[in-house]
Amino acid sequence: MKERSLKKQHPFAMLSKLTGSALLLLLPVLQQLLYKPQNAIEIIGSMGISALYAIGIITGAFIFYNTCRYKRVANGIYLERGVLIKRKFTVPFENVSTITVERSIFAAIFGAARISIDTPAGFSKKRDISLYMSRSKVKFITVKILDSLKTSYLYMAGNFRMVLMSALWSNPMTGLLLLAPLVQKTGNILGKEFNSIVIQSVDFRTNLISVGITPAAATIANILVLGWAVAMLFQFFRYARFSSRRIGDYIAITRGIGNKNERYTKIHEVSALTISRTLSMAMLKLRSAGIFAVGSGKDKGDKSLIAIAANDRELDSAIKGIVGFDTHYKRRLRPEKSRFSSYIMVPLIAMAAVFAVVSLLIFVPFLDDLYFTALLISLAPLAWWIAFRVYAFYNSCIGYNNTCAMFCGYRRLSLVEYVIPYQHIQFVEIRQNLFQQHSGFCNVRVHLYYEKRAIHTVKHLRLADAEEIVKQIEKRII
Amino acid sequence: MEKQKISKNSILVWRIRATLILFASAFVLGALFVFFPIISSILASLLIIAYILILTIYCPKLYKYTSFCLVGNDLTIEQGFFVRRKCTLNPERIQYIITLSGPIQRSLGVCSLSFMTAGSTQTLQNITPEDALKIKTALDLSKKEVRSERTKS
Repeated sequence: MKERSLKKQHPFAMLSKLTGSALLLLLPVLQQLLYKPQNAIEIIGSMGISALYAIGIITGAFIFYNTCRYKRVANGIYLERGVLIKRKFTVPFENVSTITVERSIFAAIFGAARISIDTPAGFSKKRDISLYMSRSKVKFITVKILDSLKTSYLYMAGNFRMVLMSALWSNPMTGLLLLAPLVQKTGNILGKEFNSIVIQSVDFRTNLISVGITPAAATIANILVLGWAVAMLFQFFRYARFSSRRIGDYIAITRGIGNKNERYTKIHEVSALTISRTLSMAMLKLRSAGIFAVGSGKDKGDKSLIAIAANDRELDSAIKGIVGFDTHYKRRLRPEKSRFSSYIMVPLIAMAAVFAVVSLLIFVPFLDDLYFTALLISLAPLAWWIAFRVYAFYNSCIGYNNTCAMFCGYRRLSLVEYVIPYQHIQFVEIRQNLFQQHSGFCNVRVHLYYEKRAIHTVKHLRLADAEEIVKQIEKRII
Repeated sequence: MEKQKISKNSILVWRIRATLILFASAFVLGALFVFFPIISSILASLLIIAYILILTIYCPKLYKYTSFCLVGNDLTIEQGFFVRRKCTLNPERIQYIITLSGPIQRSLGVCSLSFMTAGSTQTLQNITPEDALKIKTALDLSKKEVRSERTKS
């Protein structure tokens, strides 16, 4: 093969580095604030120092850009980087597990895109190779990777699903959505009634205190709705135009408006399939499915979804067509009915504590009118939490079939089911806390082959039964 | 392949690193001296003793106990003075190899190799670039051998 020369990244890499060190530009601003130059010479001197800072940062970015070079070699990608400590390495194509292409709005303006390559040896937060290239070159690479491979399955989520998913993404947000207008409405009604009775006969302070709920509730409700709307918009733009495909041995996930993200994961690198649902999603009989693979956990909050807010039929079809894992239980173990109290214990205690603390407001002069509002705001999310835990109790389980082991348990306010092929299970651990040692129950934790050494726990299972089912799973791992 | 020693210059690299750390510590202790003269004097004396011990005993001993060899298809690295470690790397488990060289290493004609595996990263410090190339080529060859044997079987 012809020896290729080393290439530099797209110049946008320099700009991206500059934005990374933008905080350093606060130093001259702080200097200006503290120093307060009095005359022309001092102003020029101080501006000169600021200019030196800026030149330093720009030079740093330029050196970084100049020292990072890459080339394609016969078996992989060769990369050189580092100013003081120089690093040179070749990542073989055969070891690449995930390729991510990101096109942000700013990068798109300059015709650039970022391509990141991950191998199982990568660090938990840092990508093995991350390069800015021209969009045409990135497109050429992705076409080359998927050369002559045919799409065997395509899942596309409609815009309605996107909006729904954005709205239901997290339970607290949904709770706020339900709670905020209710609180606002209550406040408005009470305020109007009060205004019609008292009119303008009392001063502003008395009005505020007498109304009690109105200003506080309205303000809180508006803040909550605004926060929820922003979060929803963020989620929507992040996952809009979502599609997942099976192309040959790759799973391709495309999503996003503005910041477009494409991810190509080798099918045999998929460590686990996750099927998650929040309480609100469960009410609508919807579930989301995602994959765990090396490289997919490096973007904060990214779930590598393959199906979004899908009903049972769509989800089964997507799983079968894209990942091909068998998700049907051959045998399963659920927590015993006597452990129901363990599932709702923590939220119940929290509710009692909040009730006790909020009740103290009755005894505080001028604040006793806020009692009802405070109670409503603080207890509603806790009631949601309890409802979720009840749902989690009835759905948590461990199970297995011929090819995969399944671990279904709650994580925060989502019920997550992990479907893990036996070859990707590192080990299964049985844990007992002090109380469980006496009661003969345990938690079962599974460890995965994944950069974060991901774990998932199913709680409050009978020890003897758990040991038996874990033994069955371990037999299949070996 | 027999046990091979790392480059002799590695002793000098470690000594220079120790000297640089000594300078940095002296700078901090100098600032501390203004507020806590007695404590910083004690720390400075301890630091000088440690520095002399590192230069005269630790660096040569570390060199003595650091070696590498290719046994069959695997690479074995032995290193450490207080805690001696021996690890054997299977070429098939190595995802990729990083060649590292800092300014001191570059000026003394040595480099380090980091072997990236899915489990952890193992580093072989201060070897000559020729040895680095030899190791990389040998590992590449043994990887190919293992694969061809597997395809035959």
